[in-house]
Amino acid sequence: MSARHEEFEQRIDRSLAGAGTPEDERLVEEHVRGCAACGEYLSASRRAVAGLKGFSFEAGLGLNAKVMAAVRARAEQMEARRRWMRLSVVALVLTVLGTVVDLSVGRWAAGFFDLRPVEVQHGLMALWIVPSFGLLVLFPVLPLLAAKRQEKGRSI
Amino acid sequence: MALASTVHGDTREIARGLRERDVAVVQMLVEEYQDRLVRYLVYVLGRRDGVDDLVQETWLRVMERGKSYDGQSRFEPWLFTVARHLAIDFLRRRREVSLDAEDDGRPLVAAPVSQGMSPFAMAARTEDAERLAAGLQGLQGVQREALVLRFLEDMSLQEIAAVVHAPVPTVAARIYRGLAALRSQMEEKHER
Repeated sequence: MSARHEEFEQRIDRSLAGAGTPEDERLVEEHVRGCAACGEYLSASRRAVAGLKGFSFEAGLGLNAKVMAAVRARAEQMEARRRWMRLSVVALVLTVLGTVVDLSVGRWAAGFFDLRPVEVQHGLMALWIVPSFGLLVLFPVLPLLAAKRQEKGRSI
Repeated sequence: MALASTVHGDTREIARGLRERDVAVVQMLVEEYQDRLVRYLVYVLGRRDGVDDLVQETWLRVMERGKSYDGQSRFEPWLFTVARHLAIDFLRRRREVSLDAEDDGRPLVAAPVSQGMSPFAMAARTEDAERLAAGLQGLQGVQREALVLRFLEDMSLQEIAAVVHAPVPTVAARIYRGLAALRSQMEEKHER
């Protein structure tokens, strides 16, 4: 094969691949008018590219419905996780707030209600800090348990 | 060109829907892109089995990570990038050669592992396609991938390079090699 043919075949490949310049395309067009070999090369390449459109790949029967069911389930799962996350943040804020109140306002409240400081502290601990801390621990675990239960239900 | 992105006008609308995890938007995308996603994965893997599961995984990933699509560029390259990562994981799980491997020297995904008729022979609807099926089956996965993205998805070399995480000259070389193999199939037919 002559170097000239080779050069034009490369130009043809570049043009088809989208790597050619407008100059490449112009030169190819001019060249193939007078060169049967390069004209055949270009036409075989175009037939090959066109042939790729002769395949039909379709999604399996019912795949769309299956995919959408999975997407909906995942969306619900994610929404539930987000909801629990928000509740966890609230529980965290309550825990921190309870601790601050216990430390800073406990002594003052003891004087005000005529109680011993340690009683106020224990009261706040039992009624505020421990429950909110419990929720803080529980909230992230609940969605995991729910997902596990759902999975178990599906497998049965 | 840029079919759905232009048909549906606004990629930003898609990005908004994905950010808000809007199931209706995902449904619209599934209807629009499902067959093309199947086709892309068949080209990458050179097999039909396992593709439906990967398609489902891809849409779940789209739902979960939709926030990372910014709507500034076409949706297709982003979708195919997601699908590609899952295809690589799929091949790794099956201990087949990775699509990440370089073309030089080391083998890439080659012939399909599945037994029986090739997915290309089964999907051929024209005489030319039947002829090309054998050529496609003999190509490496990355070469078939470059062909489908260039000639069927009408992507630019830059877009393909972004999807496959490879330099533009590498992508171009894959297309040249793929084209050469297909051309030889067409020429064989011509000679008969």
